Amino acid sequence: MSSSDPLTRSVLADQVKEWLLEAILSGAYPPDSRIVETAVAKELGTSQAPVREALRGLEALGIVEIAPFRGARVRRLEATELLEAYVVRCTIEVLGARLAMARLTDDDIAGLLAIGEQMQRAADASDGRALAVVDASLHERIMELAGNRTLLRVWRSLEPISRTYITLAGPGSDPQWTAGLHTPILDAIRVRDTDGVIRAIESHFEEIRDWLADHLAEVVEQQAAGASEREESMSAGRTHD
Amino acid sequence: MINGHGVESAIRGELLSTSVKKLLLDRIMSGYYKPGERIIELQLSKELGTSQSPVREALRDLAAIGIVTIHSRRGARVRLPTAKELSDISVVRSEIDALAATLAAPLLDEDLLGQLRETYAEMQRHHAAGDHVALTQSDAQFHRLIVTTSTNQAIAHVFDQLEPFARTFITLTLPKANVTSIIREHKLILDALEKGDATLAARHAREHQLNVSALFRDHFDDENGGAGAGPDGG
Repeated sequence: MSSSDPLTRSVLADQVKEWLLEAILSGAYPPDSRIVETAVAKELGTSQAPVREALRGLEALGIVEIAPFRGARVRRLEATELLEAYVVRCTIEVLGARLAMARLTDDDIAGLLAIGEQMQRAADASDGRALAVVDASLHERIMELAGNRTLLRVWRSLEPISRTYITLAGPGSDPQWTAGLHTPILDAIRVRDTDGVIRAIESHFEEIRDWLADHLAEVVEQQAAGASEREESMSAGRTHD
Repeated sequence: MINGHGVESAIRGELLSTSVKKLLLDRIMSGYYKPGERIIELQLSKELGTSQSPVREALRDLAAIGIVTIHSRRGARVRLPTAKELSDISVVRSEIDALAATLAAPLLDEDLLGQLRETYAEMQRHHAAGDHVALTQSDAQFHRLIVTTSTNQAIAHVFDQLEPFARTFITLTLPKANVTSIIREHKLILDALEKGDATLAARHAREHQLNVSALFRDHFDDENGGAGAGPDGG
């Protein structure tokens, strides 16, 4: 395995990107903290090239910003920015759902309903982390079934920003509420009711937007508090599971 | 455009790779690099008087939005997209542009409306002169003005991902297709915005992109049929 091979390099960069995203979401790199290429490369035992590429990928997602000669820094997201991303994500998901509904096979529907059951189990177990993963995979699966690769790519570019705040605000949310937001979507998918699916997705996002608007002030404070603790968390070292 | 050494652009605050990316996009759009053609890292960095790393980063960014494929450690190749891919992009644009028009409609002042009118007039002039590259640039500018007026950063982010791709490859379609009615659709969007009718503006913006989608679906493959393998610049 040579790190100069572009394919290997790109797969490795994707793994580093996911690792960094997880680290940012977990609060190990709070807003405004610097991400030092050499430090990450050393921690992961890779060269700097995939780390640099991963950081550029996160920059494209709006998660970090890279300044010439100063390196990468975790962006402090404005509350309005997140709400804007939700408006666009809702638009993309409604389009994706409409395209997907016209193409769904019975197996596709069974697969989506199975994800719904997994979501309910995660909620019943109060496993917030599993719930977040299954939640994202349900939305992503619908976008995949739309059969429009650009739509999927755009959706994937918007999703991490929404995840940032969901994770930050997560502890205050009720798992049953989160799982319940998806029940009307799945019910409408089961009976192939396209308009019902679209209405359910729109109200899913409206509920989240309302909830976020109520909780954002709190989230912003959490972020500010996190930033002041970053020196300790950076020097304490972390392991990735 | 990039200068001889490219150092000044980094000092101005723009990453060197960003300047290289713009240059590459201009060259692909103008037909200097054709679909299938190789872009060799070392050759380009010598020509621009830069190191290879900004060239590599620029190529990787273009690969991320689907304009080139990285095909070896030394370079990349300009992609020839399929008609479905181009048509799919415009389907996504239809909803993004409709949302942008909805949000922009109440925010457009006389100054911005004047810019939109002027951009539309430019499009007509370039169309009449048969200047396809200038036409697509004015076209992109028209839609970009609406997007930036919407003040939603996420819309701008998605628009930036999608717009260069469609613009790059529509220049290959324009010479063969009759786009007079598609160009006139901008006037419908403009009229609705002048009236402050957000719903109507969104409807025309959506229909416009769906017609562009149909244009790609119906004309792109025909024109490039048989060119699948593409020319080899190397």
